[in-house]
Amino acid sequence: MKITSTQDNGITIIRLSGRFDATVADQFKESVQQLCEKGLSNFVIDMSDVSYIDSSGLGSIITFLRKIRLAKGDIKVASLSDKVRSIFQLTRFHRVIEIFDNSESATLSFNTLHGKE
Amino acid sequence: MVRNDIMDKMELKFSPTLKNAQMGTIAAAKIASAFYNLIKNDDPDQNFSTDVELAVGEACTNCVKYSENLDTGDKTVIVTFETDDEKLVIQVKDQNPEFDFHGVSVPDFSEVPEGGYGIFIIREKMDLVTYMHTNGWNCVTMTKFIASPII
Repeated sequence: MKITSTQDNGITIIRLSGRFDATVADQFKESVQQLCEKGLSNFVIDMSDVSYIDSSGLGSIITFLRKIRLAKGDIKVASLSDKVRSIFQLTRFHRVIEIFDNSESATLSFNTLHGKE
Repeated sequence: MVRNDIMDKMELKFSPTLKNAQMGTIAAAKIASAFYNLIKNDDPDQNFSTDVELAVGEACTNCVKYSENLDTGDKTVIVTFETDDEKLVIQVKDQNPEFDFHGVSVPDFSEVPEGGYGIFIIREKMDLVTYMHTNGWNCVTMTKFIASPII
């Protein structure tokens, strides 16, 4: 899986591509840990190019979410395929993490929350 | 199509590594898609292959995660695919210690656990799921029926 990150108005957008499964869950945890160590706390995970996610991938997002919420930040996810979205719904993750149709609207939701609009 | 009472069988055998589990999972999705297409004589049903991919993925990953000799190559995982005109039966076998498969409960979603979803996903995605431990092998058998069996 490829992991890249960019900044947009104080929000960190993490773009994932490929299969998000047990083979890359640790890689994801290490990558986001590095971002956390930079003091970043608000994230959008853009999953438009994620072709598959399993429970290990979901678990690594939950680990990340817990850490970020302890730091008073938040994570939102965007651009889920039907296949990925169905797993979020099956495991009830959609109840604890906000899902947006695209990363732009997810980013905007942070800005609205922070009164930047 | 004429009903075929004899099941066709294929087998994958690999050492318990996450990379091998991933390849086994991808192979399972391809086999499920091809099977559906053959039986239905139509475009593959994405839900059928996606469900199989998820279930086999979770089962294979469990084989690796609970392996006592991770990546040493001295243990084996076997994935068997059997088909007839109405169902795909997949067995995932490993040589890990016996475990209480039937005692694994549904995750407590209110607690948002970081793990423990694997067997839940397998049960949700497949139509029949059974577990046995015989002769040193754990064997999870997962059956997925074609939506409208040919009569």
